[in-house]
Amino acid sequence: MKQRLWRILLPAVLLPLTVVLGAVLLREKYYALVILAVLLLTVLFFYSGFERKKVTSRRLVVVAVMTALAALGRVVLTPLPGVTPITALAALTALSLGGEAGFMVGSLAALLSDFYAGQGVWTPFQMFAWGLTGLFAGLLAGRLKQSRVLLALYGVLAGIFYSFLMDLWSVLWLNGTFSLKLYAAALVTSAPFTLTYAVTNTVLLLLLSKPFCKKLDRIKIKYGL
Amino acid sequence: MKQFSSLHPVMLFLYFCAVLGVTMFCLNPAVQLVSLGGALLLNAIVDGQTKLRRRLLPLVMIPLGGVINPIFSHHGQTVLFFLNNNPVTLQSFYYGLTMGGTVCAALFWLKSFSQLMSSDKLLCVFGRVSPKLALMLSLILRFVPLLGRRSRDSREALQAMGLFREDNFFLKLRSRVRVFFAVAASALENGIITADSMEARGYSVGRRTAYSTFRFSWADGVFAFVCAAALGAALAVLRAMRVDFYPTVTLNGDRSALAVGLAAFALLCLLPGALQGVGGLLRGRRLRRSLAYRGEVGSL
Repeated sequence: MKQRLWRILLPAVLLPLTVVLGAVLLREKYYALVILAVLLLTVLFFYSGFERKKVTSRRLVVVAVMTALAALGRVVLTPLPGVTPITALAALTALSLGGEAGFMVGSLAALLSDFYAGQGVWTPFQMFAWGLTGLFAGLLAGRLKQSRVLLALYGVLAGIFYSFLMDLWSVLWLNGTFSLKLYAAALVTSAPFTLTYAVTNTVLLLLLSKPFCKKLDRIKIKYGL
Repeated sequence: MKQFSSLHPVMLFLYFCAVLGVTMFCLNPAVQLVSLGGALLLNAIVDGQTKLRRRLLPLVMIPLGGVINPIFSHHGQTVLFFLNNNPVTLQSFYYGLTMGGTVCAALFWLKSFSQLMSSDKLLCVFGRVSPKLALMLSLILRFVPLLGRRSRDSREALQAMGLFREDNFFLKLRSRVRVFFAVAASALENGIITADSMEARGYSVGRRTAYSTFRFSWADGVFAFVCAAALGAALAVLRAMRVDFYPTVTLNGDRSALAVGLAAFALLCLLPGALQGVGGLLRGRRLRRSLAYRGEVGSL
């Protein structure tokens, strides 16, 4: 119980503290640094929770397989810009194994496929964005499993969320500070990508949800994950 | 003497973090130029394969920044001309160039980072922090090529049965999806066997540790010391080294502080290129000498 309290309290205190300290100490508006620190902390908290928890080896390996499929899918699909299966696979994992597993699949697939696509300052951002799309799917699992319309809607929203978050990063990185006009321009120029993400996510989620949930649920029942 | 690439992974990781940090968060054209010089030097030595034109592509970021920023930012005193009734200023042009330089230098450093930090090195860094995460990463790193091979097998099997057809786009897609499902199903099932075998070998018994073949040597210690000294000197005067761009371009501190900081940062940036270059030359000479000694190379 005590450990649990720490796990909630520590991020709840440290994350706002980073933001406030960043705003006060760095007189110049280095938003990029603060945001990068916040993202890294979030991802670290997630991983430290994973490190502490007792995870059965079966669950660990199933998550690893899903991550490998997602990373491999991204690498294989690189000729088609903007088309990646990471969101869909992270969300599907989350639907049957829970939000934390979804976060791991999304973030680790981003980290590993960036060995191929190029590691960079954007890697933490991608880990965060794809991890969160997995996590949210886990939180909404009950609703998403019942309705295919909601699942399709989730795919669209996840695509928009990812694109908007990455544009935010591009603006911060290129400009140093946040500028609403530049952000709007970035959103407009990346609109084709946003559309591609949304369509890919929706199509893949609808296409893969039934067979994958069946496979994962079968394994869950057969081996008792 | 060790080459830069054969230093301990943790040292490499910390080095790149330090250089990227200073480059990205100390806006001063001189700092960006020094960083860019160091990155280009390392890149020239490490990256021999990529074509020169492709390799130098990130340099585009500098003029690009110079063009984009004045369009969106109208701060600054010296107005050059008006665009759509908005002032285009010299200061925002300079700011754009400097930000472009930051991004460009960072891209070059990250390129070298990608090439030097192979996945086993990153595993060594992560393994120290989180052994379970390292285990997960190494599992995935093994699964990726394995799944690739499985999908080839499955594709060939389907082809032999006449089920894998690529006549038109729709059939192509369907065949690919079929292969994907087959691989996914078999990988999940086989994963359970892997898990059981892990369990049988004592996965959940005791605390996990991570094993790595990298050893911390005296060369790493010396490198760490030099870098820490240079970084410390640069960080001490970081605030003074910064340049304010608006309303006019002014240096935050005095020139002597800038000179000290720049010298320290230049040492930090040029170190990897120098180590890699000199280390490579020495290694080459040693190899050649030992070959000549054994009489395998006639005249050198």
